[in-house]
Amino acid sequence: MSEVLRAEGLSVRYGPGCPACAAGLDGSACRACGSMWAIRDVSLDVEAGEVLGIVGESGSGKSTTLACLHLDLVPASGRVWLLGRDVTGVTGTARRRLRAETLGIVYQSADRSLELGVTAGGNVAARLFAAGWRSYGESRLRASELHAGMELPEERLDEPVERYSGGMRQRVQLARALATRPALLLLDEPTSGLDVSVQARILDLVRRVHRETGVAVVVVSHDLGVIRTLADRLLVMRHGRVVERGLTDQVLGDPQHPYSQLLVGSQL
Amino acid sequence: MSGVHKTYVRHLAGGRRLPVLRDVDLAVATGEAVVVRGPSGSGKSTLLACAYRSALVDEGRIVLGGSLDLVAATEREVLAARRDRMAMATQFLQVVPRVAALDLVREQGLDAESAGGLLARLGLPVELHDLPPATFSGGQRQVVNLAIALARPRPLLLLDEVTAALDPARRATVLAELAARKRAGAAVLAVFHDVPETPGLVDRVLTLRDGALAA
Repeated sequence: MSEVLRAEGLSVRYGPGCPACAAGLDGSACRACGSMWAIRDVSLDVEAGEVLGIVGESGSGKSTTLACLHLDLVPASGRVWLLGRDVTGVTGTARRRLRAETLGIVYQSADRSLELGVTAGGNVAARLFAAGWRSYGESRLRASELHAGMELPEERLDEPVERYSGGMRQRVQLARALATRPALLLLDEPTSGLDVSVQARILDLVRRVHRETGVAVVVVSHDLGVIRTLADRLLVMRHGRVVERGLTDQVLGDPQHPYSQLLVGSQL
Repeated sequence: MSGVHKTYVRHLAGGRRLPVLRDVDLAVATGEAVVVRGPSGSGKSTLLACAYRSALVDEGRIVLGGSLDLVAATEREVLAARRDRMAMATQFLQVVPRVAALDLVREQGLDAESAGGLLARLGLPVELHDLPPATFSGGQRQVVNLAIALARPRPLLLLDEVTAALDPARRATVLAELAARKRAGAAVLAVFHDVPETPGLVDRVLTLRDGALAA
């Protein structure tokens, strides 16, 4: 299997930082300099065809980690490699290009990746154009093919996304994320806030897409059911640090860290 | 496995230590079926979980096929071993939303015909094959679970009370299939409350009591 993503020693700090907080904090701001460490020394890697889960409570640094992987945030320290290439700190056109060709992302809230006033087809086509597609006809064809692949009704391709339900918006996000056949798909709480039947269908869709395309996936969720359904391997984060990592069934079945035990023990 | 020790540490209960396995030595050969029995809570499921690396041991060695050290193996090595070299079936099916029973078995790399054949052979009525197991009975789920584990010919089968929810006829069907797998060379390590009397199935019966193994 080939490595798609590697991140080593990622730390993100809000504030100047000082010797007092360089040594470590427990999720609160540094008393000396007021800095917050959103994540600290996070390392992970994903190969083609793998699904890596990240769990943790709100504020544990899951989404910040994902933001680093999506190149939204430049870490204070640490590096990110995509398909073997060091992409830490890439900005501007190079970053746009990388994102368009290599990375797809689905957020909990659709308005972070979609223009809600634009049609579903238009949202998908916009990503294709960003990746250098020029032909309107070909983009339209690809958008419509993805629309159908995500089990969205064909007749609504030209409807603005703001008229779509929550579950359908997630499907449009997924269509957009997958438009350029990226090597890595990032899912940030992809089913949170959806009712359970819709959630199940989205998870099923993600599983199918993963099986069919072999895309590498990093999924962040506070929902252990989502992680259990999707992920082979798992990181547990707390206060910005990875406190446990392992095979999903092992971490959920025989959690070692006190926080992992709390998390597993708190599941309904 | 040799010298396996396993203790659960319950951090939420003040770090209480619950020893489950004490100095367990166990070997299963190709084409051999070993049954482990013992009272509830004696550590039977944990023993299987350790062999599958669903649980971590404190001490001891677990080696698969003479070559893979399952205690030290990386996550990827274990995942690869689970794909090709060992399967685990438990009494509980982890339900995947909306995926039909047949597709769950096909996901193991079988074509529709072989997958359907396997499910039918294990006693799942054909009219249920295209339905997701979420609404199946306990016994039907158990059959799906077992079919997933048996879909590929893997050299080691770890089976945890896989017939617990089955009626006597279905149980006999499943046990006959297991005996056939054993004849075909699979090593079987199985936990059973009632040791099966199927001819030619069980070679050795071991009893686990308070985490220690006795013949």
